[in-house]
Amino acid sequence: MLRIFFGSLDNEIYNTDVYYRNQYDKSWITDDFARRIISDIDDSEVIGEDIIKNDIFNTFSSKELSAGVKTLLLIHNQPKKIFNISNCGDNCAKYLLEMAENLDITVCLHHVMNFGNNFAVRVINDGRRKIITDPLEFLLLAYHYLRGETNER
Amino acid sequence: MKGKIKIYVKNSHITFSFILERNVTVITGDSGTGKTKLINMVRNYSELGKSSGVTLKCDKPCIVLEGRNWKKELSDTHNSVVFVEESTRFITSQAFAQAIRQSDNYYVLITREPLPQIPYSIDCIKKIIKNNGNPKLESIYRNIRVKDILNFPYDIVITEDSKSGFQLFTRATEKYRVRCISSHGKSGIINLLDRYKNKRILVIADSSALGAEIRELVHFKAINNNRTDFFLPESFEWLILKSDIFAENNRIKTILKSPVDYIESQEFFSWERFFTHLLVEETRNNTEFEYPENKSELPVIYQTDANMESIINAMKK
Repeated sequence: MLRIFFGSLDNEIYNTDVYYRNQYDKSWITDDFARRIISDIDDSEVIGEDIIKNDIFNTFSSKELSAGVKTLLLIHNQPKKIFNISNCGDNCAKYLLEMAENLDITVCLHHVMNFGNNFAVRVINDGRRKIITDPLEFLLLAYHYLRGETNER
Repeated sequence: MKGKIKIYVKNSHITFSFILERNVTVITGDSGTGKTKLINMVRNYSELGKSSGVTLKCDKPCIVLEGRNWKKELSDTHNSVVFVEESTRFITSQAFAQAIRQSDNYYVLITREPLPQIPYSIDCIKKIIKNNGNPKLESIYRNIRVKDILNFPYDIVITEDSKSGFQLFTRATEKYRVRCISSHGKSGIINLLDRYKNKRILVIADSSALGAEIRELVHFKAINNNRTDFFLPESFEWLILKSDIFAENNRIKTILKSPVDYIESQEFFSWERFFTHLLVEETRNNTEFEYPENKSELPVIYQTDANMESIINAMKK
């Protein structure tokens, strides 16, 4: 289940781009999941360990991937860490849900991500435990927590 | 700073060419569209100039603001275009909002997080459209407005305004037996939408300062079977200025053709404040039409049937 905390947590990794540059492993991009997200989100093809190719930039390192793909790769490979998924666009939402199908993944979210109409996530602010499947309930909860006075960092 | 700013950034793979139309532009949207590429190219040029391999053409200096010393750097930066990257902690802080309000720069903020402390226009929220090596910037919310509301085919009208704008729309909706309520500010709109979610609702708000709320409002509309419409003039005062009441005022007509050429960003951080100032100035000492600076009471002359119709129809011009 995707466990979402709206706002910041002390142990949150907020800047996933910097964290990726200092933590990534060359092999992270070679499994099927990584190849799929790199193809779908960044329109690029994995050639080998840390070698990616597309029509615009020719070959490049995984450090040049989008912030959204880097964040997904971090969650995929370090699922116990808490990452900021506001570095991910709505086109990353289905992959977040997929990774969390058989695993509890805790993330911080600082905006209202659009998960579509068919999803199940758990909002964990204030010790909540209820599973949210209604997009309107999700939107109103996000608004409530993100616009509170404690949101500013 | 005022006026449109053209920016052209190029390396051997990719070319960004776009125009900043206001002091604050927010770039957001899907992952993988090139937001980070754009920032990196601006950063490279800002640090190394032409020797970076990046070509950057702009009448103003372009910098990327980052790091712990951002306050000092910003206080030393004038008449420039300041870019701030996604995942920069200070971008959502009150301190940043305060600092940029008092500066004479334009800002390009790359973020998905709402910035409620900063009054920015829905028209300057952009996404990058992939287009091989020539990505384009496009306004996300350019087609969300309704422009013809004269017959008010709604159950409820929500105005963010609780003063003069609310007074006019309360009067205008009376004969259609439509209930007009104020949300007392932008942040209250979403709760009223939820309270009346089974009704047909019209939301009236100032587009020039609704940037932080618009994503949630549009998302709500999509979830709630599109039973909500948005009537979003730049501001209520802009609507009055654009109406036939001032049709013979050439100064107002000239300014409204291209407000960006007249609005000094350091003096008027939000266009809404500029239009209020303009209306107050243009009606000063005019017994009937004098518009109060605090917007507390809409003069009766604006509430005649003919003038109300003219104001509401100004959106169609």
